[in-house]
Amino acid sequence: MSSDRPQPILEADNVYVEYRGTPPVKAVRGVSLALYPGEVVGLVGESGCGKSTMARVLTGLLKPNRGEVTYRGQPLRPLGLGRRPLAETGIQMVFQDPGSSLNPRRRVEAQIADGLRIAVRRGALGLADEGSGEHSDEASGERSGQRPNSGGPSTPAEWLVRVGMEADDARRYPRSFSGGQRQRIAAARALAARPDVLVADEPISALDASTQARVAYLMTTLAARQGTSLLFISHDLSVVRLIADRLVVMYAGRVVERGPTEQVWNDPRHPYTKSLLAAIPVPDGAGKLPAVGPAGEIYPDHEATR
Amino acid sequence: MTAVLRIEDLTLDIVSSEGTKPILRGVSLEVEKGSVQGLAGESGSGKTITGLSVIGLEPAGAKLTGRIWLEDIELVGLTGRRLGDIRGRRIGMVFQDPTASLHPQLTIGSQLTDHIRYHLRESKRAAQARALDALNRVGITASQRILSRYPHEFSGGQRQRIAIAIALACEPEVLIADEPTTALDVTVQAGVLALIRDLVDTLDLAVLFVTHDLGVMSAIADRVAIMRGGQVVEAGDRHQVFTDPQHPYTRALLASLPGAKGGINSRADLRRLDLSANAIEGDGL
Ligand SMILES: Nc1ncnc2c1ncn2[C@@H]1O[C@H](COP(=O)(O)OP(=O)(O)OP(=O)(O)O)[C@@H](O)[C@H]1O
Ligand SMILES: Nc1ncnc2c1ncn2[C@@H]1O[C@H](COP(=O)(O)OP(=O)(O)O)[C@@H](O)[C@H]1O
Ligand SMILES: [Mg+2]
Ligand SMILES: [Mg+2]
Repeated sequence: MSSDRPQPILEADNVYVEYRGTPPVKAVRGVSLALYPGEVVGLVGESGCGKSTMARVLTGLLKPNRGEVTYRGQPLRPLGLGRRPLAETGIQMVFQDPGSSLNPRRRVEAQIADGLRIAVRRGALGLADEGSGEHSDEASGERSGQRPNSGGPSTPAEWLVRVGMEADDARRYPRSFSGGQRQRIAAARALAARPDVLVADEPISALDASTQARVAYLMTTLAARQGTSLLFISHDLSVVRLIADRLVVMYAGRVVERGPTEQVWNDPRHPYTKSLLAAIPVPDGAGKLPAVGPAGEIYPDHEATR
Repeated sequence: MTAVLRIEDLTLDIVSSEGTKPILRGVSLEVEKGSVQGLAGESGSGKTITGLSVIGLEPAGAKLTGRIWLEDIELVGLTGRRLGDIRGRRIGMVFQDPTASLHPQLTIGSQLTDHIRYHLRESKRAAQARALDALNRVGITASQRILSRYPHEFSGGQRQRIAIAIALACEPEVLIADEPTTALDVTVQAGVLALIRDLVDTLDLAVLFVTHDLGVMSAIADRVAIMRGGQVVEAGDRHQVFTDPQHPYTRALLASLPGAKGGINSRADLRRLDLSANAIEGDGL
């Protein structure tokens, strides 16, 4: 390996996943995917192509049948019994349904405080807060002068403001917020841990159209501000293509195309990517029906060449 | 231009032990023959309830005022067989989840023929022929074998086509389609949209098409209405609404969408977005 090329922070090498059942489902069939520090990668493809399975493999929630995941050059130990090794909480996740990222019975501030505590334990945030978390905004707000080393938000209330909400929202419970607001809270909780990598699986798919671009851009800018790499998974390319540096297109358990976003968006090579792009309806008032691809076509198994 | 379906000043409150909750506040819409009236707007604004009211399926406790006309028949207050003669016969409906309109334990053939025989009182043989016709029309190459299959043996897109076939089997004048493509992949959605457009053009069907996706709306609708908080805040010709929106909510909505005129079409556009949670008041609440 040459030393002038940055090392990937998280890397999946030739991963295979098969779910047991009759018949067994070959969900992922030889996928390699690297995330470099600070970049935003969009993982796109239609339902069932294996995106969420890859998300679970990359976060250590699922052990692949074959292939390996390395985090900072070390094999990623899948989550087993007991607690995940500390270093690995440098990988955080946000799900489509904010309900699965947040605990309905705990105040918002307590959940964001969990994230902050992880950051402190990893040494990614200067201040240790030994308190319960329920009152951490008052607690750490009192500490004079001292700021976390990288100058980002250091209390749940500050995080809420950072994601476009009110400091007062900290005392409320998740259920009293809209879907868009809950997804902002989930992002705050995950990013407060100062992860190296944030894997966001369809984080905007359940949101109103008016909210999608804003929540996606918010996640991207916040991740960029603290150097977190973002894997943004979506079946909808129209927003992803605006925030991602690179795109990876999956089809039937394989990567069929990958490249810089502009290149894939403007000049798709694989027939599947072409039909995917052509099928996106555009809200321009032109009354143009999206192109119907070849019915039921099965594209040849084919790894991206570039 | 003839409006087959007219909704006039529809107001709907849901009355429960917790009090009265206003849901629709004076909704008026017209759907013409051979045309698609799109209905978009924020989540919870009342799009689905508007469609359900037309077919007498408003939620329990709903108090409805205003008028709904199918040609010269007033629908508000219709019950029993008189409603049954219209719902499914003269007004078909398709919902987001095709499994909601298809019974999992009945073959698609029996679902189609039962529906046809109930409404048209045809012989079994005639109903079967009509069922095969309906399937062919939605792009499913029909055969006796296809009729004996169960819903789970079809893909999501095929199931939605079958739901449309049932909705159209009795040749209704009006189709109420509530998010009919929302659960589908975009490539499959493209096929269903093309199918609906074709049926509108060839059968002179009038469609009320509910969607939250303005891209879909732009593709399929001739006329567009935008709802918010139980009201239609803007209605007009598709091209006009998308290119020269009048209401501040429509403007804010389009300004936040990729692909829209004045929307988010580059990274620079992203940077000018107001990122606060209440940038569009309510944020989907
Ligand atoms: N069965 C019901 N009982 C009581 N209230 C209801 C019922 N169904 C819907 N509502 C309320 O009526 C309002 C309008 O709901 P509706 O389902 O028509 O919204 P919508 O515009 O279709 O939203 P979406 O885009 O999320 O489908 C909402 O406030 C909703 O909570
Ligand atoms: N827990 C599971 N058990 C069995 N099959 C599964 C499971 N999770 C996913 N699958 C199957 O694996 C394939 C890939 O699924 P998934 O990774 O969820 O795709 P995507 O996120 O791209 O929609 C699909 O065929 C799906 O039905
Ligand atoms: Mg998924
Ligand atoms: Mg609805």
